[in-house]
Amino acid sequence: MSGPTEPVLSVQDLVVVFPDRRGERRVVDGVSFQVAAGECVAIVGESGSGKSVTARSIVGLAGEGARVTAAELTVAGQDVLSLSGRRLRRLRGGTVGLIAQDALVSLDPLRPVGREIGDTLALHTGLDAAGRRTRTIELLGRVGLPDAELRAGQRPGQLSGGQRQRALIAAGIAGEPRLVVADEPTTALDQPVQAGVLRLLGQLRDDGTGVLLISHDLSVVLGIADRVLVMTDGVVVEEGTPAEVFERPRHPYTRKLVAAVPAGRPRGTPLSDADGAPTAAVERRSCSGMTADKATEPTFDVLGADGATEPAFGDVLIEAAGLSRSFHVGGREIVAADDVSLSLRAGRTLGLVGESGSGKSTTARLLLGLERPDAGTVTVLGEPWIPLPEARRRPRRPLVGAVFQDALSSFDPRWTVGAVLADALTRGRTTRPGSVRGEIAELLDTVGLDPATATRRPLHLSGGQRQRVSVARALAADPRVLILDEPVSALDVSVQAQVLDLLDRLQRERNLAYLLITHDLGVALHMSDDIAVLQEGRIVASGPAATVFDEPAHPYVRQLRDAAPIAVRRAPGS
Amino acid sequence: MTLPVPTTGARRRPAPGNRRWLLLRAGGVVFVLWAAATITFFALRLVPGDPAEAILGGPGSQAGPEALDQVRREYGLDQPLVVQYLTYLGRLATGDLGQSYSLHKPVATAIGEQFGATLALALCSLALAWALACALAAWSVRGGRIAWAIGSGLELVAAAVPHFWLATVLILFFSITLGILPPVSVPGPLGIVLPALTLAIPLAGFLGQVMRESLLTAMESPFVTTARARGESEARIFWRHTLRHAAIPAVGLSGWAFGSLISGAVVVESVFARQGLGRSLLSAVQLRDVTLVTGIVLVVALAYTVMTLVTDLADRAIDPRVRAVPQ
Repeated sequence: MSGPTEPVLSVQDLVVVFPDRRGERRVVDGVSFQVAAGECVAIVGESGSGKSVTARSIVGLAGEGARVTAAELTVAGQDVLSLSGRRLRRLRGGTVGLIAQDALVSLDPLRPVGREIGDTLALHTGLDAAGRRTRTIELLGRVGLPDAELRAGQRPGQLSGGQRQRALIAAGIAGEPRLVVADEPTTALDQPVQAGVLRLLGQLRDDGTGVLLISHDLSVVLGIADRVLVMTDGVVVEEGTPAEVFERPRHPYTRKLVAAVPAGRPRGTPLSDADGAPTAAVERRSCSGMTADKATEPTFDVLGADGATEPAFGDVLIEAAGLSRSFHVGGREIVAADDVSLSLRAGRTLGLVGESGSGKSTTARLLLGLERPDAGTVTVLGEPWIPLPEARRRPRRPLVGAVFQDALSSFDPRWTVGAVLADALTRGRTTRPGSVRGEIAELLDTVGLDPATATRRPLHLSGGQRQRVSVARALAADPRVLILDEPVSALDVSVQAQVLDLLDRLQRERNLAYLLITHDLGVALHMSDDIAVLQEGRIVASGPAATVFDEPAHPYVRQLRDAAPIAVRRAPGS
Repeated sequence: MTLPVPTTGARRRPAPGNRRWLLLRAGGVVFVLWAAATITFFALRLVPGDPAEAILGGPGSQAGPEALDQVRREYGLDQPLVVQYLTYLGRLATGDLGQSYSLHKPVATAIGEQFGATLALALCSLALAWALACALAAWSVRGGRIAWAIGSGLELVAAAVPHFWLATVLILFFSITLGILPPVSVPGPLGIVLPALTLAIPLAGFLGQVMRESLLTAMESPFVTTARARGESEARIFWRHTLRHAAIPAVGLSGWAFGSLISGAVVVESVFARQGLGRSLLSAVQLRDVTLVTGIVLVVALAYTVMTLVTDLADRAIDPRVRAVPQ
């Protein structure tokens, strides 16, 4: 199609400053780039890098109190910084379409999505009500939403994540903008849906629209971007084609970011420089050369002899057979688990992948005994676990620990980290850290946190620190098995890398069995020995991580593989 | 963790079908009326004093024992309490509210004469309170941090002032100083302004406080950014998006607010010498006119439950998520 010619967007030396309690904060510090018609430029960076503020400055929405200056900030020849009032509002939606993150909250939950698209049309076209309605249906069809007429009358809450995001894109392009700014358009979407949304943005680009794509995930932008800018601390540190940036990163930060992508990295390869635990550094370096060869690791007894024989590497710790569970929602039956059988082995990881709603979390809850199965049994260390009255399961609960996605909401916000861990260490007898201060310090050290963290509250910790605390809490009761339900999904790539490295180290040190639930194929492939694919509550494929996606017989597994970002597909060994 | 639900409808409570919902609500209305009738009946029997004496004109009437006996027989006061209660309920069920001792006419007629005035007052006050609350919200959203602080301060003060004090201040200002509005209620639209304002100001403060929190949440929601990014003006964003979100909790409370307006009417109607149910209720209680008190309480309870029903319907119109039924 039309090649990159005249720039739709030209940014020279953009600086955005926010007032701060201690003066001011430079969130964007001298960023320059151009986007041509029919070109897709991606800005990649982690939270706090200034990428979203950069994107929003283009339509004059940097945020309340922001001071925006630039040597040049022009969109289609218009100087954005000199615009105000009605001219600025005509630019927004008319010349520049902004597509925000997470359509559930970015569309008014009280109004049908068709009305939101109609509003853009009313503002930027001369269409009458009937014309707007026809155009709305056309637009929804264009973004690949089937039953456009029906969907136009539905509210965001009635649509699936992918449908919502498409509706949001339709609203963004309704004014036929020359530049589309897409701020994390695929975050929170399942990978097949994500692939569809990215294809749609690719089409827009091919039709001659300039596309500025903002993402925290380098692997997402690989397939679509013509040029990639890597941003950190408000500065662009690297710029180039995706191939250049991903394969020959020059800047140390880019190298760190690329190294942190788990996709295509063999099992056992560290993803971060350090996971914060100095005691582990030597040990990890010594085995960083090996891949999945963990049978040679000594299984030393770190847990202390309590009379019971410690399981050896590869022993079956949890055996689930024929687990089934269905729910009745609004007169419909939803099968969340259908004859699920699996086993977890000491020192090994089983990755459970599938889209949202495929029953991954239900399976986790069934294994943890938090949900009663309709049928099926589970044994833990050879003894019955489910079905069993809770009173008889409770004494053995310490054997099975759990880590959840949203660490913050899994803590009592009034408790300090010390109280959380004291509670776990004493099995709920006390939340006073005093009596178990030594153990708390030891646990925090194990997960790479400063013992002083014990006095802080979870709300004041970073996402990565919180997830480390929840790992520490899971370890407090000295478990043999950890159920990890999306443990890194809410984290930045480099923080994710640290937490994955931590989990990997702990598994080797303690011979733990992991069930790793994730929607991210890259994470699953990096961490797992075996992988099971779940669809509508059924395991449709399972096998060694290295081969399960090689020649998938099941169409759904093929679809999942093909939808994964490119980095996964070109994993070594495949 | 969440249930795997395919249609991700964000519902605040399980919503049965519309007809079932209405039936349930109608049953609720009947229950509330029964409870109001029962409580009033027993509460008034607990008040010391002889109801027969009250019928004959109070303790000062010097009625003889024969006259009292006759009244007791006539009004069924010689029957056991349970029988009196059941007879009373039976009469209510047929719509007979009884005879007022003090006014010497049927209670239904007495209420009919007064109800319109009070209803008009309450509805005017409710509308005025909403208008004031929305105007103040709109102003404090536009005016930045200082306007926001002033707005929420005004709301706090407004919600805290007592009706009788406010009424006095309004009379002093509008009637005595400016001389533009009558100090006592006169027939016609001019007479309702000061009483309605007296009731509306504290209520507006209350509604505004309820709205303010959700207004703040709505203003910071990403969909507001989306609306700005498609070129909507701030005024349209306020009236189309944020106000609607902010109104949800306040609408839900308007039914309750209506009830408080009617009790406020007791004070306001007395201060402004305005006819209405509130003033009738006050004199009926002073004269121990049991049937009239009961009748008024029942009518107020009915109005209150109907108003709650109306606000629930309004809530369902503003927030379609409430009525969402899984497909």
